[in-house]
Parts: sequence; C-alpha cells; structure tokens
Amino acid sequence: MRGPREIDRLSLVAGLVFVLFGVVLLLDRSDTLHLTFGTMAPMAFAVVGVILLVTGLSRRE
Amino acid sequence: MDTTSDTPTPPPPAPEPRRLTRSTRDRIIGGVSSGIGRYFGIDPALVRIGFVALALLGGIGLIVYGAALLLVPLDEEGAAAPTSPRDRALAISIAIGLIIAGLIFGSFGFIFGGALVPLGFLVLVGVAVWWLATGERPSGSAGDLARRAALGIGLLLTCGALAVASFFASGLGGGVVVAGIVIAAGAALVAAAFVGGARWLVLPALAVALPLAFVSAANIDLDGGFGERRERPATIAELEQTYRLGAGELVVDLRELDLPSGDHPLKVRIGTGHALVLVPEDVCVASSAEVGVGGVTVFDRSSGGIDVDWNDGRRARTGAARLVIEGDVGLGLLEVRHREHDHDRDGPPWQDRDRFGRVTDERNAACATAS
Repeated sequence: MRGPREIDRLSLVAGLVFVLFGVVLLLDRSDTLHLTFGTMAPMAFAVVGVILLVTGLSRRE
Repeated sequence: MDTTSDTPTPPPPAPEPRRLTRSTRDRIIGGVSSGIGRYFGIDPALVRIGFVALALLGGIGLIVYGAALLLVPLDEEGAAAPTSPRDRALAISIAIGLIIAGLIFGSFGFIFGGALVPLGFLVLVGVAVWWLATGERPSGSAGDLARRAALGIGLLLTCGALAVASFFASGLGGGVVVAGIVIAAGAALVAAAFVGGARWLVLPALAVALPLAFVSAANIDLDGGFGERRERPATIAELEQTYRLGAGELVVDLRELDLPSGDHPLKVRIGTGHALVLVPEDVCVASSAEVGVGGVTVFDRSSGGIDVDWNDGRRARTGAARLVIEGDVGLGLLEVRHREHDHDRDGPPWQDRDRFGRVTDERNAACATAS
C-alpha cells in the first residue's frame, strides 16, 4: 500500500511522457517539426513501452 | 483373560458426499473447469479444451460455463466470502444485459451461433481490457467477472470514441488543440501523482495521443470534404491548380481537355482514400508525391509503403504538353492513368502488372526520356 504522501510512480512517469510526447506533437502540428512514420513510430512505441514498463514495475511492488 | 476394553469404538464417520464446487486455487476465470476436473478426477486442462471447443462450435460452451459460474458455489476456501445477494443480482442483470446486447449485435434467428460467440468474445475482451487497465486478475465471483467485463467494455468504447474524435479533430486542423489536450492530461497526471495518482487517465490520454501521432506522421489533412468527388474540366479555364478531398474518392478526369504544349501544374491532395487522375495519351506526365501510408501508381510505375517520397521527373517530347502533378496523400493511393479500368487482376499472366497486382499496359509515352 502506498502511503498518503507517497508519489504514485506510474502517474508521474506517464504524465512526464505524455507532456514530452504532446510537446513533440505540438511542434509538428505547428510546422516547427516535420515528423514522418520513420521517426514517429519508434516514438509512439517508446511511449507505450515506457508506460507498460512502469505499470509492470509498480504492480510488482 | 481378555484385557481389551469393552468400550465400543465409534464407527468411522460417513464420507461426505462429493460436492461440485468451483476451485479458488486453480482457476483461470471462475474455477469451473478445475472444479469439474476435480469432481470427475480428470485433468482440468482437458475440461478447459472442451469448453473452448464448445464455445467455438456454436457458443454452447459459453452458456454452460456461464450457468456453472452462476450456479456452482465456490469451494470452502472461497466460500469464506460468500457472494452477496446484491452482487449476484448485479451479475445476473449484467449477464442478461450482455445477452440482449449480443442478440442485438448478432442475428435474431441464429442465437446460438450468431450472437453468443460474439457475446463471448465481447465479455472476454472486456475482462482482458479491465485486467490490462487495472491489474485486477480475471477471477473472483460471477458478479466480479460481470462487473469487470462491463467496465472493460465501457472503457474500450470510451477510448474508441476518444480515438475517433482525436483522429478527426487532428485531421481537420485541430491538431494543435489536441496536442494541448495531451500535454494537459500529462500535466494532470504529474500533479495527481503527488496526491494519490490518477492512473485511470493513462488509457484515455493514450487514446487521444496515438491517433494524433498517426495523423501527424501520415500528414493526413481531412479538410476538403468527404465522399466521392469527380472533376471533369472541359476547357483550360476550368482546370484548377489544386484539387483536394478530405476522405473518399477523388477522380480528376482531364481526358477531354485539350492541353496546349508547355507545362501545366496540378496539385492533388487527399487525406485518406483514393485519388485518380485520368490524362490524355498525348500528354506527358511528370509527377512527385508524398504519401504517409499507401502508394503511388503512374502508368506502369508504382511505389508503396510508408513515408513514400515519389519523384518521377520527365521531359515532354517537342511540342507536347506536360502535366506536372504534385501529390499529397495521407493514407491511400494516388493513381495516374489514361483509362479508368485496370481494377481487375484477371488478365493474362504475361501482361504487365503494377505492385498492387493490377494489369497495366499503359505507358507515359508522350515523354521524351526519364531525367
């Protein structure tokens, strides 16, 4: 059980990942970046992978 | 002398009658197969295989399993926490609701085959989604399972609706707003991490972010309308420089157009779908295109895949017109042809075919050479 003041690691890591991913997508949509599948697909898989990894680790605890 | 006591030994207790119970220790879903295997002294794996086979052969296995789940009690370890009447009533209500949903989605006249198999998959998908989302294993009482299946299906439908909304909003020019929503969801998750967390927000955020990523990667622009659009300019004055469609089929038929010699630029943009440009045989076509996911076919040449960067620069023969096509396709196919046909794959085997298997005998014959 997490204590009342303990940080929820999954929410923290997933949140940071979403903020970063959202910034990248924002830059692409505002024509600052030009992302293709070659760059976007690994990034999307990395986002999903990090979330799954942290989910698994937090469940193990 | 007999020294044995006269006290009569008590008779051995009568063996308890065997009871069919669901196992709480060895179970994958509700412990039905394990309980049946223990009752009859056979390997539970065989019973599980039987249930799966019966489920696939008309869905009767799902009925039997569901009935056993509702009617067969848990063994003594599980009986310590008996299912409350409220939970059981909830389970039965949800089961009835799912059966009605299955009947609606399936066919009314094909109950056992048409409705129950999709219903069973629906329940399994719901339980699996809830398992993945929350980490709650697909076990417990019938009420727990039904509740998890319903919550999982609800979560799946919600995320599906969010994903569709994100796709269309991003494709219709709202990508910046959708990206802002992803950032806001991330910030909310970070903030919530210090006050207990908000794990339920992860899946919806993912359902919004991934379609936006797909739209960004494929550069899908849905602006320009939906459906089928056919353009047939008869004079050079009617020829537009850009033809665009959001999603659907766009046909630009230039075959009746008498193009004078020289270059004639033509931009074709389609978000998702099929764009077909039909050109006269005496016109040379130079083409370039960017395709997110899909392909390009220009007469007898073609390319396909992801991030397709097509460039087929040609020079026209002396005195011939040259159509300079610039294509932009998010998800779909751009074709340039002389004739509106070639959608059959049944031609003779020696005939040329494009990469999509279609017969083609067309050539970019009005061009001089490839540059």
